[in-house]
Amino acid sequence: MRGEIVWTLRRYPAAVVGTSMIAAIVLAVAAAPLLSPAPPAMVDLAYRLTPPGLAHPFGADLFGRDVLARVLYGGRYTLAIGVVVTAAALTIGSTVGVLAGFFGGAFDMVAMRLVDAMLSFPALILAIALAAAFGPSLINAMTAIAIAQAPQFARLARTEALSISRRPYVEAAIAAGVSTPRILIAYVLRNILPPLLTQAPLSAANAILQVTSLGFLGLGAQPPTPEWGADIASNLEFVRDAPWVAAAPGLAILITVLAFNLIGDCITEAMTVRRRSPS
Amino acid sequence: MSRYLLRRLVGLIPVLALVLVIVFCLTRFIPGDPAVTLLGPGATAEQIAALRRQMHLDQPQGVQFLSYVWNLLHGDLGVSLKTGRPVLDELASKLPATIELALAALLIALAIGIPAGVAAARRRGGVLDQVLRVAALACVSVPAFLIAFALQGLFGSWLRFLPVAGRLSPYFIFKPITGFAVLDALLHGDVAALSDAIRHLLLPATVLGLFIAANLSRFVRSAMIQQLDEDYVRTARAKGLDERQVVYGHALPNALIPVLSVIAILFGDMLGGAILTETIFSWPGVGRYTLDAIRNRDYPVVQSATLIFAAMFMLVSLAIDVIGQRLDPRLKAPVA
Amino acid sequence: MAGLALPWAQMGIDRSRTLVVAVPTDPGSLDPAHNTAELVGSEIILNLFDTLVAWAAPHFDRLEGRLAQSWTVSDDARSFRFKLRPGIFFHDGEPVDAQAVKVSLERAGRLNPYMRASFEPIAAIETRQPDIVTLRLSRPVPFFLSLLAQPQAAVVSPTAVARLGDRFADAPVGSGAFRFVRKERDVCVVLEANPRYFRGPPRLEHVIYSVNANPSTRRFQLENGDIDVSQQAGQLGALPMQDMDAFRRNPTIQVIEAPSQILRQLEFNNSRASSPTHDLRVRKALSYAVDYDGLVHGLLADSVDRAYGPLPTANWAFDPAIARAAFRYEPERARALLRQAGFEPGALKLDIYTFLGAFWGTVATFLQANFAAVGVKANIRQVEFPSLRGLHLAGQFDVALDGRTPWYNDPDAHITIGYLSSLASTAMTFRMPPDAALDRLILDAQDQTDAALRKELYGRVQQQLMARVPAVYLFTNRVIVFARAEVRGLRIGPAPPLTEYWSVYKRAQQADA
Repeated sequence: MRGEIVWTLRRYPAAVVGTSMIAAIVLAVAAAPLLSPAPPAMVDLAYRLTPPGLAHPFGADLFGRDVLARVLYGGRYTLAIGVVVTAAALTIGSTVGVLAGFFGGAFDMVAMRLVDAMLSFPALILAIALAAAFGPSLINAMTAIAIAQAPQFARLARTEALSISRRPYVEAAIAAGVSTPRILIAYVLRNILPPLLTQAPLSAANAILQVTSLGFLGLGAQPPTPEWGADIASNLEFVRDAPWVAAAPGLAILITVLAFNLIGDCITEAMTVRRRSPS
Repeated sequence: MSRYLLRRLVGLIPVLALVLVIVFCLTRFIPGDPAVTLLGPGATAEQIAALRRQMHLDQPQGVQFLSYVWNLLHGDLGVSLKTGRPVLDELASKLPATIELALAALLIALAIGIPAGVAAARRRGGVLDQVLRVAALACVSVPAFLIAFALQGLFGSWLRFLPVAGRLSPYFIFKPITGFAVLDALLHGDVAALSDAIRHLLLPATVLGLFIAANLSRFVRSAMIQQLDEDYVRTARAKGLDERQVVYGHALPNALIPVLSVIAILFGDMLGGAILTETIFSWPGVGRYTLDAIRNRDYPVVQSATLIFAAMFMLVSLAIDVIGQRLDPRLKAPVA
Repeated sequence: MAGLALPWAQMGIDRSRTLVVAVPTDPGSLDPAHNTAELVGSEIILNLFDTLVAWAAPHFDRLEGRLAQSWTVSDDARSFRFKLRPGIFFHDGEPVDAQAVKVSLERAGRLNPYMRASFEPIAAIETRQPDIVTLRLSRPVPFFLSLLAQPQAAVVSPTAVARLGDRFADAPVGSGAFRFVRKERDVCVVLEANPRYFRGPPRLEHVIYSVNANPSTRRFQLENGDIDVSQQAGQLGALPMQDMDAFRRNPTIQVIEAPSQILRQLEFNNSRASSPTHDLRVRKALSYAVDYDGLVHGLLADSVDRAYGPLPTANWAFDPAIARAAFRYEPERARALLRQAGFEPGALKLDIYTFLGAFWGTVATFLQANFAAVGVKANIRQVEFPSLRGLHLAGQFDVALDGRTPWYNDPDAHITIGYLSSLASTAMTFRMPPDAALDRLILDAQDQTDAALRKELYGRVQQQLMARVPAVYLFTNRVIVFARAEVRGLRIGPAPPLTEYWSVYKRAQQADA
């Protein structure tokens, strides 16, 4: 397995780039207190909308808060969003999907209709409605997006679970009387995890973009949380005269999401190649 | 064929019903009273209560749901709580705007995505391939609203030949025949209106289409690579056929069949993206209408509009499945 | 932009006589009997219809007759007799007579939840002669004429109402300077000049309201000449400081500013005994904690004016003594008061509820920072309007960043519905705790017919309210209009801040004027 990974990484330099970008971002946000010229919430009207310079390398926003600090601290939220939302969606979705695929029957029918229904919704509407229902906050926005993303994992998990449960060794185990939970964990889960995890980076990228959009609509993180989407939204009116306030978080989003997408893209391609080659 | 079609169509109904239930519950859980939005801040509690009675909001939820479904089956989508106009009329005027935007975006996506994917596949592993891949990924890594604002800024300040908002300039009176501005202008023979409609369409369609184009190019690329590896391509080349003939005449048509199913999914993404794009470009479509309705707690509109979204998505998926099967009998089972 | 002029000409529309006005939202109802006090629809109503009286430009400090040629008020302020101006017709050709006035006012009082309270004192409307209307009130209302100047009190054509019924709002017929042409929801409203307008035909031929929610888009369109005016509603919900700066340096665009009576304040839930702000010392501490100069001059760059108390400085009943005695930025005193009230730094936690949007978020963020500096931890909860109102009415909040737009030019508009404790839970009020003496004072001030005495009474009301600190009074928005330089004659009324376009023209026309 390890040799495969190294070989894969060698063949896909983009994945290496992506991974190093993520590593750099993680380091940067971890070192945020060291790298920030000032705390991200510190209001200092004397520096209102200052262009990038010595005191504020990325400039300052409407309140005189340092943009670099806000980008760095905001990165913590962004990474958390990517990881937590994807993990939640994966967990919820695959649980439903595995149970549906393994047990079949009425549960499968109902669950899959539910999944179809949720997939035919525009995710943003679902997220807006949920965020409006629970009240605007970053946690609620993340919950909404996790719920919106779960169906994709459910579908994937179900397909995989279906194919695995038909495999001879699984059927043999069932016949031998192995308990259902054990089968699910030892056989099914272990085998569906890789395909699900290949979806994870792309899913994380999408989650970050969606939460950013919710932040843009005002339904995400509340002030003074330096979440990138919310920062862009609150500063877009000044972008003509002070472009750095929106450009910095915007570029940050681009870089982070691009990194996840690079990794995810390479993984997807590697899996496709694997599937195509005779094995 | 038609029995299969019928079976699939019938299969959509339980899903649509579920969508309806989900939306209904969702809107009712959202705190806040639609009567409040209508009456504004100074209204008193009894005025609100009176309006709620008028809007039938004081009846139990179950009754409200059943009456909505009953009306739905009779083609009555209810009445907008904000304007008092039938939702059907309002949707009928706004739906073509969104579809027009989506189709234009799709056209742009196809025009950019397919050539890009083919070019990348032909020079697989080369510099162009890598560049195109990064470009495509970069396009999907930027939030849509940023691209929208960037384009608005570009065309608003410097290149001023494209309008930055709206569907038609205010001096044109929109006399709808089909509801599609471009088509109607053509049917009226009005060149000025046609050029105005197209110019207004370009920016929002580009913002929407760019993402689809990026994803599409990746799929076209891998589908093309698959085809170019096939035996028949080798045979065709061995026969001495012109390379362009091989690529565009043989490989591409076969590659587009699996790509077709992807378009259905991308269409779904596009409907979601339409909401933000319509808001930023003041495009009078269903997306913006739905967003406002959620904000105003305009329940009938939210219910009906979301139903329309879901139905559109499902019908498009179904249509693509059917077309795909027609083109390739091997794809008997529905995709995914 | 000569290229853009061509299609206008092809449509037979003279661009130099057409005004394109950008507004941020679709108008509500265009029927005075249904329009519930939103700025866009009300302005259109003002231009489509006439009221009996209106505030006289350019100072808007006295009322002039519109449909009313003259009027007399009885000594007890309970009887108003209007003599109607002869020769005024509705857009459908019907004459404007006493019966039309009666139908309109009764209709508005019956159908419009806003006007119900305003017109509730009307006991009878007499129309014995076609050109005389007499209103008899059940109790004295000294500011009743101001109520009649509201757009919702405009006079509609009874014939059209009878013909159209519920659909009157789709094709409104009034007697105003402009006629209704067409409306596309979320897109535009088109008006054309009324050549038979009683003050003379307007100088413009068309007024087109263009709906555009995005401030930066409006800015592009204004700079390109696609729109002529960015109406004040657009700037009220936004942060226009940078645009103001840029436009002041742009010779093709003018920035028009006027003071308004739109008040913004941080309200306390004054009837919640369990609230941490129930303690007067805490409310005072929060009032001392706000850096008012930083907010008004720094953050908002003078696009607003400081407000000192329950009445804005632009109101005639404003007591200048209030300004002298108002809270100043004294963070040390704030910290001391908090400690006295038993709150050590970091102990007091508050949720500040407010509306969505960059404007409210920005002000709330600034307050949050001010409070943090004195050891109060504030969370900001920006929620949609229906949710906020629900919370407000249920009393489930401690602090809310809110505003008040007066709909008629009288201190009563600010005081009565807001501070009367008997009305505390009926609407979004200041939720004052029961106080019979204060209520009595407020009602006395409302009913007092002598102007000087009334002002004195309102002076006492302001003092008493200030002593109770029901809110932290922050600022009043300025009415800010952006317009192309060639647009002339814009007049923006006081309360509410609406523009009549009858006198507006574009300077290029002067050659043929």
